[in-house]
Amino acid sequence: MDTTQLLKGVLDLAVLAVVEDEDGYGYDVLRRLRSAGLGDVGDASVYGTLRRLYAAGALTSYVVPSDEGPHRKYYGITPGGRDQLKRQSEDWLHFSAAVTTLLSGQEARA
Amino acid sequence: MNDTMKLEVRGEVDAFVAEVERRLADLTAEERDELVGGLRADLSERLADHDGPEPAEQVLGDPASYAVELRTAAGFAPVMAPRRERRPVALVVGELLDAARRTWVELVDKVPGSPRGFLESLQPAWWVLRAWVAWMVLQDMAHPYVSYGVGWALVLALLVVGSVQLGRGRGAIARVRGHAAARLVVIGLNVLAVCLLPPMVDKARWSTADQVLDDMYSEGAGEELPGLSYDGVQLTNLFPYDAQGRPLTGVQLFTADGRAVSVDDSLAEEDGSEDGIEEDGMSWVYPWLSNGSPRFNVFPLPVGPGDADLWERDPDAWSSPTPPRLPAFPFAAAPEVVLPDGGPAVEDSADVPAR
Repeated sequence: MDTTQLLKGVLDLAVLAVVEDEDGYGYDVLRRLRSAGLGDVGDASVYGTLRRLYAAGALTSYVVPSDEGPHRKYYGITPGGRDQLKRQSEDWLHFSAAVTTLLSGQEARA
Repeated sequence: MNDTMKLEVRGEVDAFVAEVERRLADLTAEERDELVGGLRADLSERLADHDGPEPAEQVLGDPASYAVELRTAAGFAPVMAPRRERRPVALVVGELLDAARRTWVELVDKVPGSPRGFLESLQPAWWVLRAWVAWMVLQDMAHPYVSYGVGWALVLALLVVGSVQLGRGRGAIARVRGHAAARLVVIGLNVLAVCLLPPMVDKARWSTADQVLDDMYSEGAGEELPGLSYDGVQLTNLFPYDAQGRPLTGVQLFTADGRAVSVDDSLAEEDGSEDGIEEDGMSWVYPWLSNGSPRFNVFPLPVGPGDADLWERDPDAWSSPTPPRLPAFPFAAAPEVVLPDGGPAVEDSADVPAR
């Protein structure tokens, strides 16, 4: 199954979850998402999502200059972002539980 | 995490970021910075992580689709709207103009008696009139008067042709009519022509009046003042003296071809009450007589009061209580004069009639 469509709906949630514990820059966030098993996520989608969450006030951003290369832009979660994460996590858990129940019922009948 | 690892930014990354940035040109500088601010570092790191044999371009992929993905995820329109701010302005203006025209037509159509047809019939007259206004404005810029020379007539003809073609929607000049900007320009010019019409008519009237006055003056200059005049001023009298400087009376003056040098007999002058001839009012010169017919070429001419009511000489002046009298000479005696050869050529000038 193509998980790209599924990802689109939960990318905000996934990105918030990734930066909740530790601030991260774009590629870092992408790598964490991939190592968490979301291998299909496109980097531009992640960077765009970071920007949108920042514009919505769910993230803060700051630049870390580097002497030896291009500077990196770090994102951290805000209290508003934590609220959003909490709400959306609950939504997701309800939703996924419902889908799981639905699927396991079908499996049992099969 | 390789925060401390030295990141080498490759030319491919710079080119890629530039291409992506180009597709974000419609965003504000802040939005754009937010999107591509960390992009060079991120992409460079991704290239560094990649250990396949593919060239960098292939790993980075297509910047156009990358930009679409980036824009969509960031909550912007997937593709930059091409020149989105220019077309709508022209369209909006055009629609406004169309709406205004429709409203006008509806308004006019509400008036009974189909005035629209009447007004439309008048349009050609307006086309010519506005060309004339433009012509007058050009003249005004060229010189302070109005010229009716061949060159200017040609200019007027060209302006009329242009204006009528524009009005009819024909010819090269009318090809721009559909554009909103051109329509605005034409409307502006029409309004300007309406505003300039009264002053230009006024100017034309004044210039015509000036021309008439000029003609009158030039005629006047060619025309001689009637009667005797000196330095452009008509004279009412002369006071002759002989060579010894004695006043002469009854001196008849003729031109070389024998015409009498007469004063303009219609002239009267305000009386200075000199000689007590008239206390206030006008005094007139009265002619000498030759076999009963008046002569105004004999000097000095007697001066007397006129008929105050009729504004003319009193026909019974000589029998009135205050008959005309010879006026006083300006000097009792003038300087003596001689010819270079010693004496007056005509010796009998001493024969002065008694005063």
